[in-house]
Amino acid sequence: MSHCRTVYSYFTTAVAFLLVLIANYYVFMVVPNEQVMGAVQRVFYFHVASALACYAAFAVVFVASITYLATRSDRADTLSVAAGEVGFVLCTIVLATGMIWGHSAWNTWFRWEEPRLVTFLVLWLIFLSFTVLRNFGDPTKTAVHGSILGILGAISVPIVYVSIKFLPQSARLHPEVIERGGLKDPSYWQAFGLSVAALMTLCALLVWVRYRVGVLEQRVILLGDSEGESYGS
Amino acid sequence: MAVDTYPDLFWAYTVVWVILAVYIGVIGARVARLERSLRGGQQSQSSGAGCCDSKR
Repeated sequence: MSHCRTVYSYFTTAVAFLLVLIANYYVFMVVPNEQVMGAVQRVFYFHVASALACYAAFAVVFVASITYLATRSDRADTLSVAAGEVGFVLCTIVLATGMIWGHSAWNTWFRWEEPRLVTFLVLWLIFLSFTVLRNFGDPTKTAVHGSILGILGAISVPIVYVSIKFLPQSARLHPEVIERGGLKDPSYWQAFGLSVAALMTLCALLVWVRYRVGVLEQRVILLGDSEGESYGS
Repeated sequence: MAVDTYPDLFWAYTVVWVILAVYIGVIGARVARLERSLRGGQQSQSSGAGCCDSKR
């Protein structure tokens, strides 16, 4: 079992590393410069791919948190913590790359009148609180509180997506590349597909590694408890 | 230099790799610390068991 796990982890790491390399090659060497935005449009590939990967991680948080609240399973709680933490890291990448793109496109780091940016910032703050709570909170209470916060955070994901859908086209500042039929050149799609595959694999790998860390932490706590008991007796 | 020609593109991808590298480093440090305490705990438990067995 342990041998299979090691082989699986090496295989996934190799696949993730290879996909990241190929995606970078496509983004910087194959894709032509976009006509309006120029070279900075290349931020789009890892920005959107990171967003999709963080939404996938938050979907895992949602399912694992509900499972924990229903069954009080330690595994579900550990998975929820792992996916929440990795999702938060990817969310930070999305926010940072989006701000850098905004600085180039709009000449400002952040636009408070843009609902998608504000709702995404709220999502980032929810998962910042989730990560802080799970790492520094009272261990006897954080599992339940963290699960509820995780569910609330995951529910915010569709809100981020639809936040600009009700605005008139003229008021939408956030680019909607795919919805508006952008990415005409086939190489744009290849680079985008590879970036999504790379970030999704990396996300799955990081969640799995972080889950193993959680299991290891529980083992250390159990060992400490059993040591205490044996000294007590 | 890429940083002079495309500063925003350069910084965007630098941020991606720095954030990922820091996170992987943090996880790696955590795994090393846990393995150390696990090994220490197991050693003290086995030596404790040895002491109790000899007392019996």
